[in-house]
Amino acid sequence: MIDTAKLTSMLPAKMRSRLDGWFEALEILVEVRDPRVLRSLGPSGVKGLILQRAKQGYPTKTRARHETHFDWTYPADNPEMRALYTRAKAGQWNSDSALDWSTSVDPYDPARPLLPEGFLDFDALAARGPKLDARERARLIHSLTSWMLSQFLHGEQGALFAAAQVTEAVQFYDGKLYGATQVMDEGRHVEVFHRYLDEKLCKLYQVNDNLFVIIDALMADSRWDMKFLGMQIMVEGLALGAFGTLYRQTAEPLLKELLKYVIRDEARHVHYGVLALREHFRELSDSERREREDWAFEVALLMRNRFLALEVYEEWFEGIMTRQAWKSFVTETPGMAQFRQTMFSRLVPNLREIGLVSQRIVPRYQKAGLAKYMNGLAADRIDAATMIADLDRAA
Amino acid sequence: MVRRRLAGDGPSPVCFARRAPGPALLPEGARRLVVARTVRETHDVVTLVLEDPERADFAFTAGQFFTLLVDVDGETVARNYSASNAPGQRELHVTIKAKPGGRVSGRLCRAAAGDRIGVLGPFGAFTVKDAASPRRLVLFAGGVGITPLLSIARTVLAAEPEAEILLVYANRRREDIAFDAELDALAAAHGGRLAVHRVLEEPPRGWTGATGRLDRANVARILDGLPSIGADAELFVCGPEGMQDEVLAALAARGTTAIVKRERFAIGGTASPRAGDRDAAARRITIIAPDRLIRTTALAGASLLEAGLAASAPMPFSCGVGGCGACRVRVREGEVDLDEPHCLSEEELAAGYSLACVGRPRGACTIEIGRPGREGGER
Repeated sequence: MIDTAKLTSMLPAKMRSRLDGWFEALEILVEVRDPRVLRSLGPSGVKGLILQRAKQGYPTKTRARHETHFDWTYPADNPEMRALYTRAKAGQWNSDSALDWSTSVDPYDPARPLLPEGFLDFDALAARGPKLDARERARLIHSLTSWMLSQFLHGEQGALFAAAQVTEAVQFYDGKLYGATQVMDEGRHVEVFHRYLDEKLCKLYQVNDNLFVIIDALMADSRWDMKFLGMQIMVEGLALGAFGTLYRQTAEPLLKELLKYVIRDEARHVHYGVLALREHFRELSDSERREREDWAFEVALLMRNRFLALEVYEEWFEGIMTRQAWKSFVTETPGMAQFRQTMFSRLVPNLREIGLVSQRIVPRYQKAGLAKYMNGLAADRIDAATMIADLDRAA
Repeated sequence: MVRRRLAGDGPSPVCFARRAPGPALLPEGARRLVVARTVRETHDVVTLVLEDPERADFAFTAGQFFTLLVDVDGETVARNYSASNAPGQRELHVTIKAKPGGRVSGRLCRAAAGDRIGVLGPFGAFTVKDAASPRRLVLFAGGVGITPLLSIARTVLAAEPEAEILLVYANRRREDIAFDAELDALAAAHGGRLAVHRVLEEPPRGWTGATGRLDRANVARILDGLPSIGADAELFVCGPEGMQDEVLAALAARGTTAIVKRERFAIGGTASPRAGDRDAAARRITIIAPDRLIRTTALAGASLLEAGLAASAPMPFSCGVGGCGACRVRVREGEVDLDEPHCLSEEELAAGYSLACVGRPRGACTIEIGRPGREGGER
């Protein structure tokens, strides 16, 4: 293996940081073992990680290639999805009236902090170079919260379009009815996250490259089950974990309330993915199932990298500390470690439940440090009320 | 793109960062206009249609710009935007391109009907003179630099039945072309007196127009294919600095003797430094105004003008880019760094003058401003 850090160490700091970013991208692509997965993720990887198409100030256009599935007999073909549809209709909420948007949000108010003291280990940061005073620390927390919510927002935009595609492509008629409610849910999530960032935190970050790759790849994939797997299980599954962590940690009342509503919706979304894919994956050939297993693993790695907050690094510390130092800081700092713990403890059990964690792939999960999350409850065994109650108890 | 990113000049990781809008005091001479509607011209270009609640017509000369005052992060920030409609109407159209990470442009591009915006102006000499005889205008526009040229074209075509206009209009991609349909409509409405030559840097498949960057070789190629520019033609260039330089160099190489006017529409010297910049720190500022003393703090990286406006000081200013001298102040104590380029002479610098719009305090300092309408810093 080439020591890229040694290769770039002689370069100016900013250039080194950019090159390190590209080497990271190349490492991700080179490590993909299944050529079918590389074919699926590769073009989006180049578009997102190397060319950074989502950050050029232009709308991104992705060509969808899925088939729309019509059934003119309107069969009652999936009672569990019909029940979910009924619950989803009853669970709709109006973002204007459900949330008190007149709440004054001061990102620097120590009485109602966005994130708790100790979320970031500033001593560990100082040991790597940057020493921040109290005001700078508060501003960094404001930036980090804005960054997290920005990535939630971008993920929700992807979920909005993916939910629409999945509604077209899914084979279950009851699933299509449920899917329509999810499209509405995702639209509302885009609205509330954007409104909170725009009106309250007044800061929006660009989409993270890793998140863009996942969204772009699954939007372009022609197979309905890959869209389900990517969006309903991976993106929504991780989002559910991330929302839960933020819900538990924030003391800002409007954000807490907003997340509570969103978590209720998201719990349904992941449940839908598990319902749709569990049976389907049992019917796939071994080769097809292996491809999906590998794809899910690679996407899990991309998702893990998504939460390294590199956009915050580029804004605050590029040229002041190395990219590697920032990554080790984010990996070890308590709040972000807690984030990863909750996110993957929601995701990995769902992958196990739909049959995508065979003994073949377990060593790779172990090597990536993700195997410890395998024993949690999957989404079909845990409802939104239980999840919120769990989070409230843990808070 | 790759080279830019390697040099550390890649896209900003932040789309926007600002503080919620609040009521701001306007400097003397400013009007508060209302956004009547917005028109999305392209994916990142928006026209704000502004009206004056006092119902006054907008008197300006085609090609002039207005200074829009926008609240960003608790400061009033000034940016100049050219009018894109013809003068003498009840509406003022200003067209804005949202820059990635642009604090002010992003804020303006998200403005909605009913929003109020402080406006100063009009300003600028990038204008056409009255013509006694039929004339020919040659306009070179790069990107959103089309705005003053569109105002000029609309005005001249309507007022001078025999005038002819040639517009060379360069953009990066097809979807970046603002006013595409309007230009076609304008040409059709005036019987071919307006000829539009579009140039694309990254043309789509099937594009039949000119291609490439508007550099001197390309300008020469384009001009070779057009009727020669007479010595009596009037030439106007508006767009990015680099493109303007290339057009002027190409014209000089052809021995063009016609009058050429250029407009700097890019705003410089107002971006806050990156967070984490160890040199940037808040500075104590004392402003000696004609009738009072104002003590305030300039936020890290803020200009004297930004600091003064944030403290509601009666700061005189106009262009905001160090080009007009309207914001000249005398530095009584302390040191001020001036961004280049600026219009102060060696004598003015030696006499202790600075420009508030592109001057940043190096430490605590005291500045003196003049009465509106008088030379900055004169007592």
